[in-house]
Amino acid sequence: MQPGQVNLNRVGAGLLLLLLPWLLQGCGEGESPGAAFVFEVPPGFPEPGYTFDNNPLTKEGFLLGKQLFFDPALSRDGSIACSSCHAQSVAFADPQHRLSIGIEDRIGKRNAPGIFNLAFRDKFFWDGGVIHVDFIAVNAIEATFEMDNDISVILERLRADPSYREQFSRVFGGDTINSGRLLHALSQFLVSLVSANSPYDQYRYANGTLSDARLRGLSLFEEHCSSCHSGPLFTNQGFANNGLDSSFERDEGRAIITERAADQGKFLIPSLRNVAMTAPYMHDGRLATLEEVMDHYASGVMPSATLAPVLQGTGQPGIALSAQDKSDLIDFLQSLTDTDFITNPQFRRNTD
Amino acid sequence: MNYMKFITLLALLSLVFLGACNSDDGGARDLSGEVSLKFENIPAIGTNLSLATPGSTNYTYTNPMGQGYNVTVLKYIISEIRLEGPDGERFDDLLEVTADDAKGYYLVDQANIGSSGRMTLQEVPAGTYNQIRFIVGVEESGVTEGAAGGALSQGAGARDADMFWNWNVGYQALKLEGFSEASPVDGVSAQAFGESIAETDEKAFAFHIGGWDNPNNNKEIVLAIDEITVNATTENEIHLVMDLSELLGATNQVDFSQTFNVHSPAAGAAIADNIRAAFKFDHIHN
Repeated sequence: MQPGQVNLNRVGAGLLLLLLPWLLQGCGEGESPGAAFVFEVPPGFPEPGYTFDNNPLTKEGFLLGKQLFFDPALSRDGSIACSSCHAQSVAFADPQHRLSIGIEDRIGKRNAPGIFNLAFRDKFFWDGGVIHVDFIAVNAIEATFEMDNDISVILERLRADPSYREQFSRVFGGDTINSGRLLHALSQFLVSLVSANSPYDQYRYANGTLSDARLRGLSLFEEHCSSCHSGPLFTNQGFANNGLDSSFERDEGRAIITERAADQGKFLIPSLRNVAMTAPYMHDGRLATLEEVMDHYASGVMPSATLAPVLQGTGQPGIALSAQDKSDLIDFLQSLTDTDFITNPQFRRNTD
Repeated sequence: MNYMKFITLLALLSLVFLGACNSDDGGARDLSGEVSLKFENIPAIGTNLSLATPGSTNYTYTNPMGQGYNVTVLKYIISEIRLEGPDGERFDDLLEVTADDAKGYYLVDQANIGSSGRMTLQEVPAGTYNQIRFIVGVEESGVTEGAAGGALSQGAGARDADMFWNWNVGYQALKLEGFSEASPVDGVSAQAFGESIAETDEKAFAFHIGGWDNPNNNKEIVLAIDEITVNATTENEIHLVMDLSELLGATNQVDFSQTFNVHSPAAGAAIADNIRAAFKFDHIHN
């Protein structure tokens, strides 16, 4: 580290390291194709589980993955891209729809979640049926109510495009465009979406401060919420039934994957990073605002056999929260918004 | 004469090149060799399998319950092949997953059984072997490698072969589709679906056997084989058969009137439990 850098706080240093390859990008032409693109682990985060050994990050790979992420050629009729349901301005969640909308305005079953910190996760989709970042796109591409496409069709489209041929060659070598390379390129973009520079992080890991209301909210959060929304990812990566329903015919959640009655109505516990940006809430987007979420936990929890034990309460299910508590909690949740992440120009669509 | 000179020169050059090859390979000559595997699918011992056209009402074969059926699709994935010998000899087929390949993972497909049913194990250490072990399916360690090529590819491999589950991620270990006189499928109130089965088809069945967690429907097969000796000059081929009469009844009887549309780990567990008995050593060809 240069002498001038030692005074930087850890967040700042981490951010600088994250951006370093981009700062170096200015060197431009002389850079070798496939130059390594260092993945930095933010302060407090666990080691990433993503299989970087199989798919080493490169700047070109990241840029190719980003281009694919924004390319509607991935959908059968060329009408929607990944970015249609995952917008940077709202932490790559769906900016407007309660349920995801696929091609031909087909309505999905669940709400499109935000995309960030995927390299640190090992379960994806609300039921956790996808267990590797590389396979996230397969599900979205092939689901009839999402992109309704075949990967072989996408490969034909990419092979017919000289620009893609050149980019795939630069990233992976040779003149092959196959499914492994397509999925690896997409993953290079997806795992690079790291969000770890919210006011909370600056408070926790640097010299930042939080308002009294946010500190009261943090205290309430640690008392009532952090058993599920735990650690630096704000999720323990488990599954829970948080009392939205008392019967689950409409969506059995985790039980669809495990085929166990004990998992009925359980869904993947989402990260709460950037949560103020990712409305509407819950697996089916039924709650429009954080206020509604607070009301649900305070007085709307429905009893059932699989309800999370921490929500069973004494007498009445749920968490006893005063109006002030709710307000403080929402204040705290707003401190999890990473403005750098949602405005970072490197995550914007490539310009030609 | 010029022609003869040319031929002579060519012959001399060939000798030089062959000599070079020999001297390069000479060191390893006695240390390792190749062993081939040949998988054959049979309705029962002593009978041959051929695929039927989807929709066919020729129920050529009979399950252990006496129900007539035919087969329109039969595929499985073989992985983690190991040979073992009486003196501690051991060969583990290389497993290597990359974007372009999946070494050590093989898709056996009855539609092209002549090619897909054969695989050659390279660099098997010289020695004596009397046991083969392999997995039918892809264990968690293969699934968690992420995107792969070869037999596990989402393009030309497992996806086109319809052996990948995108919603409950993993690879099907085995797939059997066909039509049975006992199947209650009427295309309306009882349906089956698969790569050769439309939801409107009648009398169909589709068994997609997958799942690597709970239950784990991948099965380890361990078979004693007639002893083979491996060195650089041997050409052993281990013939194995997959016996459908065992797959449909070794431990759990598959009643086509009750079981006709299997697409999840739990639903496939009963058939998966028959997989071990279905794979048998047949003979050595050398």
